Parts: sequence; C-alpha cells; structure tokens
Amino acid sequence: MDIIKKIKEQISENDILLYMKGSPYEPQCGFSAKTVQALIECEAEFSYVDILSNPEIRSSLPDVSEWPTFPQLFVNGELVGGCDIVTQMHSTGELKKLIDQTTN
Amino acid sequence: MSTEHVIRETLESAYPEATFDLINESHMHSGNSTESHFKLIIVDERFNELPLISRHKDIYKNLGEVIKTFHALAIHAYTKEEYSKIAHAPKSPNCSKK
Repeated sequence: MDIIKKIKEQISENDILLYMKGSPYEPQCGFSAKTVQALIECEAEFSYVDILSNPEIRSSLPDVSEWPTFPQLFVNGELVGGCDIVTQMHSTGELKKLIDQTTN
Repeated sequence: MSTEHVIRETLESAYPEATFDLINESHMHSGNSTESHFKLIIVDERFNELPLISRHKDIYKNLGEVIKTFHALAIHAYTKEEYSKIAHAPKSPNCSKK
C-alpha cells in the first residue's frame, strides 16, 4: 500500500496515536519515554507506531505532518506536537482535558 | 561553521526581537565536543496568541535544512508573560540508550 495513504489511515483510525522510537514498554529515546509517561499519567489509552521498525513511516511522516522530529502525538486526527509540547500541556492540565474529551 | 553557530545565526535573523538561550546538551548523549542534541528556550512577543504547535512549526520552518543535520532539538517557546510566570524551562530527558 502507498505509505502516505497508510499513514493517513493510521492517523484517522486511531483517536490517540503516538509515533515513537521503540515501544511504550521499551522506549528507545528519552523524548519518546517522557511523552509515554505523560500519556500514562493522564490514563490515556493510546495506539503507537514504532518508527524504528518502520523506516518508511519514519521517512515519510514528517512530510505528511510538517513536523521533522519524533515522537509525534496525534489526537482526533490532528498533530498535537512532540515531547516538549506534550510535556508542557501535561503540566498545565491541558493534556488530560484533551484526552478525557477524546475517550468520553 | 558549527551547527550551533548556524542555529544561532538563523534564529537571530528570524527572531530579531526575541531573547533566546541555545544550550548544547550533546554531552548527555553522544559525548563532549559533539553536536547531536540542543535545547532552545526562546521568548518572543511574536508567540502571543499562537498555539504551541504553531510556534514550534514556525521555528522548524525558519531553521530549514539545518534541523536534519543533528538528532534532537528541544524547544521551549514562550511569550514574555508566560516566561515571567515560570521559574525555568523544563529539564531535558536523559539519554535512554543502554
């Protein structure tokens, strides 16, 4: 399947989706680990894609999302941001609010 | 020219009114005298009413190709008012490589 189409399907089919390095159980990058931690603290149920084992997604996603780095968090089909944004939103309570709205 | 120098010059011309601090944190990851990880704290009135994601996208757009030459750039972008309310920007995560 066309990789761009596949990425767009993943984003639209998963309410909360994290593109990360490694898995939530074994993150392979400190920034991915910190983002997972924030999601767990918000009791989020989320899907993830390990970009290290999906090199095609790793190289194509930045063009789709207009975001050059990883991790990337998508909620309701929209890019929320990377580690810094997610962490900052977590500290203000915005992240929990966004996630609660999605799961309810 | 060093990566740090390129980032610094690009930011100075793209955000002439901003106050920023660019810290090379590569020693936490790939060792001393390397340029893999940077942290940027930038305060600019231009960020007023811009959501976080748009601030970051604006910075990425301005940095252009240089962003592809190193591993990570932590961005903490504030307005003057926001910055006055926090004591310091958050710490960057440690490297998770074993």
